[in-house]
Amino acid sequence: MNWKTELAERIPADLGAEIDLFESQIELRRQGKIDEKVFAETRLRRGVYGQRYDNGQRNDGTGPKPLQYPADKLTKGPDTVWDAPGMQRIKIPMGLLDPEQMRTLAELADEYSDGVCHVTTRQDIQLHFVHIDDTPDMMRRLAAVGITTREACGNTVRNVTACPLAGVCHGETFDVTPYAVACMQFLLGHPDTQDFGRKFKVAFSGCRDEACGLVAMHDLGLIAVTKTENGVERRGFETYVGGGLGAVPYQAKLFDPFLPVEELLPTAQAIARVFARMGEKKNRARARIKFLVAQLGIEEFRRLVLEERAGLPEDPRWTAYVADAAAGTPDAAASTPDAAGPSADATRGPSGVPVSLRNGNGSADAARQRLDGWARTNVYRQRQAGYAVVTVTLPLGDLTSAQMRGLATLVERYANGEARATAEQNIVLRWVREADLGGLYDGLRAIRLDSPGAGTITDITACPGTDTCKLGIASSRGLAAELANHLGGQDETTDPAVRGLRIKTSGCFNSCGQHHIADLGFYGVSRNVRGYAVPHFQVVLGGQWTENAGSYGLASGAIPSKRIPEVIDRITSRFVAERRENETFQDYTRRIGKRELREMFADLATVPPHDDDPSFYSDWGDPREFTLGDMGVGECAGEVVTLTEFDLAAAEAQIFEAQLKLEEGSPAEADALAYRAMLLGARGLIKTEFIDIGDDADTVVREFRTRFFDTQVFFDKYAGGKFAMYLFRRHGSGPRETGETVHHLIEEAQLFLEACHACAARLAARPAGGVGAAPAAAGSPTA
Amino acid sequence: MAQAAHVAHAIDVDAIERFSLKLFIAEGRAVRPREIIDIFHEWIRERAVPGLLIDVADYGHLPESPNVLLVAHEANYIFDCHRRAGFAYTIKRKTPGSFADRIADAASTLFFAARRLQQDTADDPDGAIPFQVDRIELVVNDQLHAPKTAGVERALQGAVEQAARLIFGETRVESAPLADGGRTGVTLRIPNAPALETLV
Repeated sequence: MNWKTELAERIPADLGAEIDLFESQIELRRQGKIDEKVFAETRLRRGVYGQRYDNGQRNDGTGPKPLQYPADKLTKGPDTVWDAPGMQRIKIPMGLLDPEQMRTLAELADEYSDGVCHVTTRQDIQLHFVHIDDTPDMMRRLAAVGITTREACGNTVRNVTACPLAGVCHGETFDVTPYAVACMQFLLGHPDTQDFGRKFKVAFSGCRDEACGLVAMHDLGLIAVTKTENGVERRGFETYVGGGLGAVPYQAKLFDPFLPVEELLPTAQAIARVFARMGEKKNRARARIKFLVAQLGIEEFRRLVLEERAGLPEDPRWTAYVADAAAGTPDAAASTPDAAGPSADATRGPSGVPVSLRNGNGSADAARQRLDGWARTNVYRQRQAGYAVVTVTLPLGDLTSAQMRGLATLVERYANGEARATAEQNIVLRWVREADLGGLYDGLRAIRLDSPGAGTITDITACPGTDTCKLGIASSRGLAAELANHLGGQDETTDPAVRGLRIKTSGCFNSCGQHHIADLGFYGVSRNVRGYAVPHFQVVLGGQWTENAGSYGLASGAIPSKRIPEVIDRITSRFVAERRENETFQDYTRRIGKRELREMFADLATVPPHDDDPSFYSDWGDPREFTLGDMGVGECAGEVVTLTEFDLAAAEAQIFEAQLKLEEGSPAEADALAYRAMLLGARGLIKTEFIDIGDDADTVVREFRTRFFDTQVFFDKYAGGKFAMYLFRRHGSGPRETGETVHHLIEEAQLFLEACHACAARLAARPAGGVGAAPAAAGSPTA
Repeated sequence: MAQAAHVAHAIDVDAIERFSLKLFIAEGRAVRPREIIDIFHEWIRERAVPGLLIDVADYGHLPESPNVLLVAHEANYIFDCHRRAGFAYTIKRKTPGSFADRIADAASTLFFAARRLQQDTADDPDGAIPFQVDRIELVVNDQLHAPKTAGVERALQGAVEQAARLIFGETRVESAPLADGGRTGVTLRIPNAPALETLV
């Protein structure tokens, strides 16, 4: 008996064949008949992802220790041990889930994972600690309920996301759901989307003003718009390309102010073809479409896409769905106004409409207050009279399998059989009759999913970070949990302007936690302090969540992890005390400026000696002494690091100055300072081998290339030499001129500097006598 | 039961692959997840309990289970607050033997680890974590071989009682279907169960 035969009649033939093929590929890899790199991309395209410690080694706090898995030398990718637990990403288009799917996810979490379902910032569900041998059966069980994991990872079109309020929002132009569904179905497995150099993310929004689908940070972003021609209203999309967060965030560029819905799919296809043909393939660090758009310029990119579009053979799928989409989704069709009778006594607001609940459970005053408090933050009154949207707040995006089952029952009973995962790692239930809100609240309370505070400062977004991610530097989830506890007392007496702030944390610069678009964003970095690695977070202020992620914040300095709660307390207190009437947090931080912000946190940047307070030297939620790897520090190396860090510290100051200049509207000066910061970082490293390096830019770059790039000493295990390329590119191509390109340069300089810090730490950890162990008093530049 | 309804066949308990055993903590002793996290990290360093110990997952932000997880290759050790605080051992990979044999083996490992947890909390101001050995909960995580359908728990009871005799010898045992709508399992009661330390 097995799942393949048990579910044969429920799995679509094409999906079943794909899964069978994947199972065969697993077997071939076991036999050594598939190259490990090829197999790695194969499994990634099915959502089977690596996880921390899958190289067969883990630092237990006293040093790296081998993990002796039974499969021994068998690998599922380069440096990735077969038996090591991995992560299964499950693509949930638009975050749409029905109760049967939710119950299946709960079963899979219990049987193959750790009993926890995790909602991601792109409306996926992830299960962790999964064995690769179990993945084909997981896929079959998902396929039997209409879910595919195909192209959940790898260089593919990732999950198509959309505003979770689509179809019920007061401010939307029209419901984007059917268009997003059509786009997902059309692009999934399409031959023109199989040869990308990197991933490609698509998002749909119903309006411009709210955060909605976060269009500005996507490779392809679409905002619903209409246009009246000859008295007839036509639907279309304001179309953007080339956005993305990642290490260096880019705002998407306007491709077309009105792309008719009939042109949505062929244009997406044409964009995919241009990206596949012209996008970077070798250098992964430059392979996202944002780099291609930046390199070509939006006008040339548009010309190429339109040329490609003109040559595409007609495909009936382009428009087959359009008439039905225009007629409305089944939900919308059923939503005759006042279908539930007269609406409750409610007050409309711009968003998060407060709903005064009727009746409910008839409980006492305290319970009533609790319920009303929950309703104020977690209930949104739909456009359709008599109905509401309920946000189920999930701590760190997690819910247990038992909670998932309980929620599935509530979705059936109260929410028209549909739930949607959100980019803020929550789940929304729509089409809840206002009269049922009390009953639903009781149901949520019974499964302990009744936390209030959706969309407030306590509703913190976090990527997996060092908990499970191979790239994590610091514990973003640990920090988020700590901040949630710390801010737990933020009740309705808190200033509303503070209560409405958003916090987002990432474990590294790659921004999976979307720190760039938070009011208060944090991403993990490491600093070498007196020979110890100390977890820090870069504080990123001034990002904008609304207007589809309208602008990105810039790093304002690294603070030890254990002092981040103080950062929050300090800046929110200052904001309340100093803000002008109706001033937003973003406006406030912009007004007081980066210099003031830096001074505000200056004393928090210090780290007490290890013996005085060892807690600074471990991360949140992890008692092990913090490490980036197999670090050990000798005295001689420590001295060298001190010389190096002198230049690194100076470089940090230059980056800060560059930010100030950019803020003041002096991009040329900002460019020079950011470039100077990179040169200082490089020089600091060179000084570990060649103290008399001097200041000449050509010499610094040449020596850095020879000693650290060509030798790969600078290379990060995962990023390789990509950060060095930032220096080489700026050195070779000369000054950047526009505010946006200088903004990118500053981000690049910051990342280059982080890589210098990491490299310095690796050098410091080398045994005496190794490369970089002691600086020569003088030396000759190498050829 | 998303897919249980589609698996209609007689239950072959020996085919069951994944299951969990849980030992309850005596009422009145609060357990702080933080102390468990520290202990689990120490267990990895010392290889203190059976299995290839990999990592510790902190789910302290979740209200029930898992709360703190010691991830191993073959099975997980879980500090579990689902309905009532306890310590669970969750088998992930099938080993040879009948279901009863495998339950008995898992129980042996669970007792060993629980005893170690007692020892490691002996100096705690609240005292060592006290376990009740007279009640053990079995949960089957295997929708293919033991879907939650009518009669499945009755089929499990026989294997559980047989396992109890392997563990405790000839003593009175009582079993009952798990009173949990979402999960499949059996609660085993051993009124005359010996102290934990004598089982290790």
